[in-house]
Amino acid sequence: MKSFFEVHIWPQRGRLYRLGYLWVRDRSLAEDMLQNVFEKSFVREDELRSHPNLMGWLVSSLKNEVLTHFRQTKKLDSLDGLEELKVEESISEDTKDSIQQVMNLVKGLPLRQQEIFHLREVEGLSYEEITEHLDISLDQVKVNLHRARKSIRERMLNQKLTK
Amino acid sequence: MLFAFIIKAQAQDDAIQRFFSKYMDDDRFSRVYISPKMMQMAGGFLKSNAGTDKDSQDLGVLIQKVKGIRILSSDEVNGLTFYKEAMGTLSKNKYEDLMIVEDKGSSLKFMVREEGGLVKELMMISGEEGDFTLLSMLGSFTYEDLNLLAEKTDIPGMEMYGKGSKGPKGEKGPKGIK
Amino acid sequence: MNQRIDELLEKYWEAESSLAEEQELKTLLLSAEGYADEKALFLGLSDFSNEEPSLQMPTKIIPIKSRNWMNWAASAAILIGSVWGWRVYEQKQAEQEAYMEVMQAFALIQTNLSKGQEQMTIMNDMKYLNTTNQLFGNPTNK
Repeated sequence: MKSFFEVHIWPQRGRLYRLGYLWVRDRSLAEDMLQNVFEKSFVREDELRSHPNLMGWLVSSLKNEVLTHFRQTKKLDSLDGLEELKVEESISEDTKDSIQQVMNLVKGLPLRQQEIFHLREVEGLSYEEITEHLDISLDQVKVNLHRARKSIRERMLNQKLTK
Repeated sequence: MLFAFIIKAQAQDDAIQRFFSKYMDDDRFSRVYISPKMMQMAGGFLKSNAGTDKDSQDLGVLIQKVKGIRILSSDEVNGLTFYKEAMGTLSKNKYEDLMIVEDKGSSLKFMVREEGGLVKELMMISGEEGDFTLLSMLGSFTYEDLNLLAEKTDIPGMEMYGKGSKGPKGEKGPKGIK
Repeated sequence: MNQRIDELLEKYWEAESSLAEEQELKTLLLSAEGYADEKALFLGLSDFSNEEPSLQMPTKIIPIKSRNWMNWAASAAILIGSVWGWRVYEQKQAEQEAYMEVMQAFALIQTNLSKGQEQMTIMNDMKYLNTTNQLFGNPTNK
């Protein structure tokens, strides 16, 4: 008989990893962060069984893990720190070109917009699912997705002009 | 030895301590003692497993402020008799009533002992036929800290602990002090 | 076909497209001429979605040795994965048990406090009276 973890949490590893990668831009760091969250959730399996929003919990645990890590290594103070960090960080070299291009397009956008854009475009989630993952309202999802796409469109046009 | 342990820097009401000790060897009662060390460990567990929600954080703050908890209970006695006895042993001027619920055949009272504007002890005494509970929680709280327990906050995992069990019979309570 | 693509693209940029329409857009673009930038974007996103982590599933079963007065089933405890050593595991166990005891005590308090909230008799000063459902308000300074 499979455990709760095996059935409900383990299958989310791809999605969580990719979101983690969006935040940290480093394959092995993203994997480490996720591994930590999985270990924690494994221990807390019983409690998580009755959690009203498991995905939301997994996402925010992962983000917390990342923030804690950066606080220790980079001296970040606030939740906004992750955004600032992203602008400085360069993408690790083992990433595919096509992915790098996309990352460059979203770089510098507010973190919330990046996350929502990512969950929609890369993970193919519905608005409803996105509200659960990020624990935000439907309106916030719509507004931010619109803004993100708008900004990306502009950037694409600008890139065209400079070619 | 557990009940001879005097928690440092806390003014312990001797009467209540005597009450706990008096029934130490009485098999009708079960005792729980959660020491400062155990509170620390509980805090450690919460820290490494907590979510990021406010409730978990508030819980962590509360746990840090609790120095110890003692529970004495029985489901074999006439609780009302013991309720009266316990009330009788308390130094009235040290404790203030916080809440009283009385209906036919059962009494429940919460009291606090304040010092320097902070609550140093939360005491709960409840009694009815076939049930008696005496609980003392020591620490240094504000009323806001205690809010977490007052409202039905959704502390992750709290629903697992249900009505809160009160301990085995005839035992000295869990080992808490090293 | 290009007309349909343009139609869908407009909707897309305005964030008014459904998931089905977005899927249609991507499919049409695959066999369309031109639209180099849009193709590059969706290709990158698609490649991203294929990235998978190499993780190991944590291999253990915890349940905890039961303290007598808690109703958790006693079972043998097994080592947790390859990451933790036995001593750390014992420490974690002890912490978890302490936590459970504390939560049990808190639950006992909470249950009884809510009994009171149903039919309350509050003695004492006004400072303990509440205007909302909060039992504990801001105490006045003594």
